[in-house]
Amino acid sequence: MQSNFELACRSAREAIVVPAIPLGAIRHGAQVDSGERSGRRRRGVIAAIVASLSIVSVAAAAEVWGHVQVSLDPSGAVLMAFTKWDGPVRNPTERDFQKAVRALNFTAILPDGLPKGTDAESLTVFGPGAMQITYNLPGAWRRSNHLLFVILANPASVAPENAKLPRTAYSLQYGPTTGLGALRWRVGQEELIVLRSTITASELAHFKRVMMAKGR
Amino acid sequence: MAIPVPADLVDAARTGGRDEIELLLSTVWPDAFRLARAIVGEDQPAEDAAQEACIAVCRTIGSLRSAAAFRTWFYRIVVREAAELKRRRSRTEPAAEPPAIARDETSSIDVWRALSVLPQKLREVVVLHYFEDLSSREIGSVLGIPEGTVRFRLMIAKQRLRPLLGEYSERIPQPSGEVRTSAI
Repeated sequence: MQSNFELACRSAREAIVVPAIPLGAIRHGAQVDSGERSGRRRRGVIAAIVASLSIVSVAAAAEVWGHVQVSLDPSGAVLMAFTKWDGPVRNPTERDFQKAVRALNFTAILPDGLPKGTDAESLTVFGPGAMQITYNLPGAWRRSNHLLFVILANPASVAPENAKLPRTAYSLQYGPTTGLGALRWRVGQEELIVLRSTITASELAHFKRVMMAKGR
Repeated sequence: MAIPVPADLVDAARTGGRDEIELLLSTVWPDAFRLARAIVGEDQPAEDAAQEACIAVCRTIGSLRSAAAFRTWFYRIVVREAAELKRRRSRTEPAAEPPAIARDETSSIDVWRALSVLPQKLREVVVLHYFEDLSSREIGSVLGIPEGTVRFRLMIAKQRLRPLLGEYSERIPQPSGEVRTSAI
């Protein structure tokens, strides 16, 4: 019986179809400083996000491109209407980011150039048209205002200002705590929306410079 | 059963640059994927785990003591990544159906089913012993547990698999020693 099992295991092992080695992803992953990604203690994020968001059902009718619509309110809040979401994934790894990018319907350029020591705390994909990343900015001086919300969206999913939200199962609002104003940049084929937080003007300028360079 | 890794290749990767490391990774990638696949039980997560293991190799191969320690060290990384991935998936996703990836269904599906009923700790020793052909000492070194614990876990695993293997052995023909001759 045992020898049969050994033979079967060998057969099963040899029957596994091995995919090509993803050298590009390995190179990229190896370049990321593991200490920055996982070495420090993370703070609880769910409560902070829940406090800054309100998820409500809406009941108007409109078509949603990519199952998500992002709109920027003049008050500084960012509104999202969506039919489905995946996440949030807490303390996302490189693998989680790659999976999220694969799920999107546009070529996403992941944020780079944030202040050194910034941690990704959570990652959520809305429909296939947008991805939201919550960062934990470094520095004790920020006290409890350490979160930075960044949204990467398909430009087709971003509505003009004051646009009416479409009818979807869910809508979501960043604000008013975090809705201190949102910046919107076109980086390559993506719309990058950054909600203002305690990120300083110089940090923001550096972030924008790096992202614009990546988008070219 | 695994592809032997030449010591000079490991030494070159330890002291060399990116090209040497990538050559080494290309050599061990099939082993990494197969081991992760056997532990995780699904293709895509196995690829993720093997990829993470390769990234870890890139980052830390410089700290490897000697080329002789590479095999155990490498298996340890792959098992750790695969186990971690499986643990995370089990918290967020429902358990997958027993996989059916084998080409030869009569000989392989039951192996995967048998593995899927084992708890993680038992599955790891079974995979390392029967799939990767490691000795109890090597498995102990990979998993960081005493050799006696490895043998104990293998014994428990066999006991749990016995009902499945009994059914299995009736369906799998034994290799025959009979020599057949035919007239030309």
